[in-house]
Amino acid sequence: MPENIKPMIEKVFELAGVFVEEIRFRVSKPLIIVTDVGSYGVLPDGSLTSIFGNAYIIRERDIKQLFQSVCENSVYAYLEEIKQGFITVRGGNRVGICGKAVVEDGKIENIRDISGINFRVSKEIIGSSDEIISNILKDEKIINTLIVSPPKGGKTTIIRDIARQISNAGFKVGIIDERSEIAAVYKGIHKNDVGLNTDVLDCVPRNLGIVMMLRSMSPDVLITDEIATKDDAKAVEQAIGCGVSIVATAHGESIDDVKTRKNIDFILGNGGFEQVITISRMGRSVNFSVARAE
Amino acid sequence: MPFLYLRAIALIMIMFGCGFLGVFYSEKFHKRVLHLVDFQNALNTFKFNVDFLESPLYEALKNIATESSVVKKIFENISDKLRNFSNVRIDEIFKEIIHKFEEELFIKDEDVSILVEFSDKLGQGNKEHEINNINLALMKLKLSEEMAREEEKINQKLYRGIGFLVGIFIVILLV
Repeated sequence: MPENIKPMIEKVFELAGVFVEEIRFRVSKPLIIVTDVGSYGVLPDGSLTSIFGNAYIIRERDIKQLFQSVCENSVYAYLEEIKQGFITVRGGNRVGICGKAVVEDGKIENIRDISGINFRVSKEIIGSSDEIISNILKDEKIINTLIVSPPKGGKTTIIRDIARQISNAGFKVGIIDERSEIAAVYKGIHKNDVGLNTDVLDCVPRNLGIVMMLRSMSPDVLITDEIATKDDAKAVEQAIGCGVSIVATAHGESIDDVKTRKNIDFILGNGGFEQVITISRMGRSVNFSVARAE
Repeated sequence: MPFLYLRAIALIMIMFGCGFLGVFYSEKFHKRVLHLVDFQNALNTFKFNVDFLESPLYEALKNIATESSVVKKIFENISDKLRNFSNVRIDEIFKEIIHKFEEELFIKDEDVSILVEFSDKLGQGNKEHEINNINLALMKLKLSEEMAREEEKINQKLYRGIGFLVGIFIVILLV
């Protein structure tokens, strides 16, 4: 992190600590942090202000240095992630990148002239799934479950805790962690607690990871985040067909919202997901609603 | 008589001493070749780390294994510096670390320029650009090595010869 910004961010974490959800850097715009109760500008001394105009203004040089830091001075090593618009850094924190996309033959080859960087702070909340675990782990059996919420609803935090609880209950858990967000593996070691009986396949496309995990680790239950494509859904179908339980998440407001998605609607009910748990958040309160998938 | 023996021993020592100085000085030409070869080996390992393992720079540089401990030390130092201070220019780090080890290194300024020029473009492009940059540096180092071998051939004999000749000349003067 640029030397002039580092002390500000350290101060922010001293002040707001666990409540920080995002840190947003945009060229020639104020440095903003997003907490669970709102957004604040960061003053040059690191204190917070609700008047964005008074906050520290990010310079182009800051963004360049920040980008090089995030890439560990090695753009080539992160190019595949840059193409997707985000990089997952140590600790499972996701860094979103905005700029000018370089497109060739309809495919994004790179993002240059970086104009904005958003740090999403990964959170591990042990016990966050206590309220719903009895719906998933029933009579020594795992119910195939799809967890749905809008972005920033806490899906990853919940699914991580579900993995921990199921694993510690004695089931062999396989996590397909496409973006290194669930287990936050760094050099083969899980930073987050995902249970004692868990294998993690890191940075692998979900659909391929599910099949690899089935073949190689004979899991009792597979856990994965944000299924979205037809290939993901087909892999889930294959896993369930092999007798392996699955707990996954998807973006969406409700079960009806998910049903409108042609890519994944066919795995709701009919031998696919047996239930859908919807997460809704209002400030710091989290509500769950469980519905049968049909 | 004992005085004559002692004098003879002293003269022989002067002659061989000068000879060894010549040999010692001529060794720097041989060591330059060895260090250039070590740098090429190091860059080949680095290329593998970048191309196949896609390791970030600091990791790719750390994993470089070479015969020469000084070349290994240089890359280790650069790697540590990169890891701890991410907001510095890589070419500046290369310059600084090579300067730090210049007493143990026998390469010339033009060889240092090849390495600094190579470092200037590091980490900024995609894999293809990185590999092209490494290949270019390898090619330049190979050319330098060939020239260094030529110099070694000429100068090693020359300085060894000069060393012994100076020794003999001093002995003649003293006699």
